[in-house]
Amino acid sequence: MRNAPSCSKIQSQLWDYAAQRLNEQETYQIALHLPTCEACQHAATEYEQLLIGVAQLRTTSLPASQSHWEGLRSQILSAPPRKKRSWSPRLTLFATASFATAFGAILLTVKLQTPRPLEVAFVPNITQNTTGIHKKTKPDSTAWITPKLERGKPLIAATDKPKSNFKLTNALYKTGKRTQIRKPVLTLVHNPMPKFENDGRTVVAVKFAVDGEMPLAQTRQVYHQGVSKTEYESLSAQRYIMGGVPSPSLISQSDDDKELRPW
Amino acid sequence: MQAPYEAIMVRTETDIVARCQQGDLEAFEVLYTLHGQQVYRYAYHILGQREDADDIKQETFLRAWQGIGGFRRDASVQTWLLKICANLCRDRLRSWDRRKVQYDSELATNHCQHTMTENDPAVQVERSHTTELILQTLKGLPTTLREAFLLHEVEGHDYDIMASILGCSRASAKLRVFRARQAMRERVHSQLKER
Repeated sequence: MRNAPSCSKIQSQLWDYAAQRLNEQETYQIALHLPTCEACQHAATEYEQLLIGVAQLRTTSLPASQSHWEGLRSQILSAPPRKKRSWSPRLTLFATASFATAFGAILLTVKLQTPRPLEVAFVPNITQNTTGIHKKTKPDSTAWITPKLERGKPLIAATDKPKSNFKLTNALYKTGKRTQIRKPVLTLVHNPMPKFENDGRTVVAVKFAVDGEMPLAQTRQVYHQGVSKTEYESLSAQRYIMGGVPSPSLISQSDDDKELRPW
Repeated sequence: MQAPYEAIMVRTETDIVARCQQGDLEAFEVLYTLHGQQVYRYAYHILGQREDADDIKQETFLRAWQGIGGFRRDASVQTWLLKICANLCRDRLRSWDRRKVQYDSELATNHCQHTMTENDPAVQVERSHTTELILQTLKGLPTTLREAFLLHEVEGHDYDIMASILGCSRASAKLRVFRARQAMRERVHSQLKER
């Protein structure tokens, strides 16, 4: 009875069988199988015929080569010494452009990382939290800041406890046509910020980055634990100019804040 | 005058290569004499034209001379030369493909002229037809299978050397040979039946 896997294995060895390249055991197995299987027998005959033709390819002489050592020798002697593979002009141009871009990027990074003198530090208005999840917090220790949040600009506030917790409770994000409310991550940027004297206390300006980018300034509320409402209100009327002229946009932003105040 | 290769015949291949690496052209002539015919035969079977095979042979040895300084001896010189030759042949075939040059039938014709070694005319004709058919079929195979078939079946290289020449794994070389054999068998016998 014909066993298909056996046949396929046998057929894969038939060429070597015909060429007498198999060992004794393999040869014996095939020799046993062939009389029982017509297909393998037929394939073996075809391989044998093919091998005869291939053997002739091996033994027959080719048309004589017309190339000679002398020709090669003269070629070798006349050929310039092979240069090490050099970059093509296009590749060189590409490499130069890449290097210039990388260098520019490094310069830009260094420039961005260098602390710039702040033109205006804005001390935002402080409002009492009356709504939302923070109702339970103590009024004296809880204050809401309704700062001017601008996309791509860090928030600057003032506090005497720069290491206290700050939370941005929610903010509106606009992604394409959709607007989402979510709680962003507020990161305190620990670069040295100017200090101010306020009623005999040292107030430190703090700088936040919100998710690396500012959300839309709609329901912006920064929850600050540790500075009382009164203290902040005393600061809220002031604008601290730090090494520059106040920007007109920042001067007018208190009006915006009134509209956006949650109460 | 004594041929240079006779004088150096006793030296091993390593010595010859070492001398070539020092810029000894006479030693390189030995390599040319020893391996030139095999390189030519391979190129001839792949390309099917004497002029091109000659051209490839010279180019192979020119490249070999220029690159012999970097020859690391992790393969034999013959394998290294055939590798250069195989790459050049592939480049040539690709340039033909671009220019739509047809594989020449000169190979089959020439072979048929050289295969008349049998006394019986009937056998001569039969074998001549078979050889012609094999060459025609070989010509119709994809280059990868043709290379594998020639290196293994005609040149008699084992799978490891083939893999080194063709720049593939041993398993891949084995598979190519297997596929080439199958394709050859199917094509040759379907054409024999047609006749």
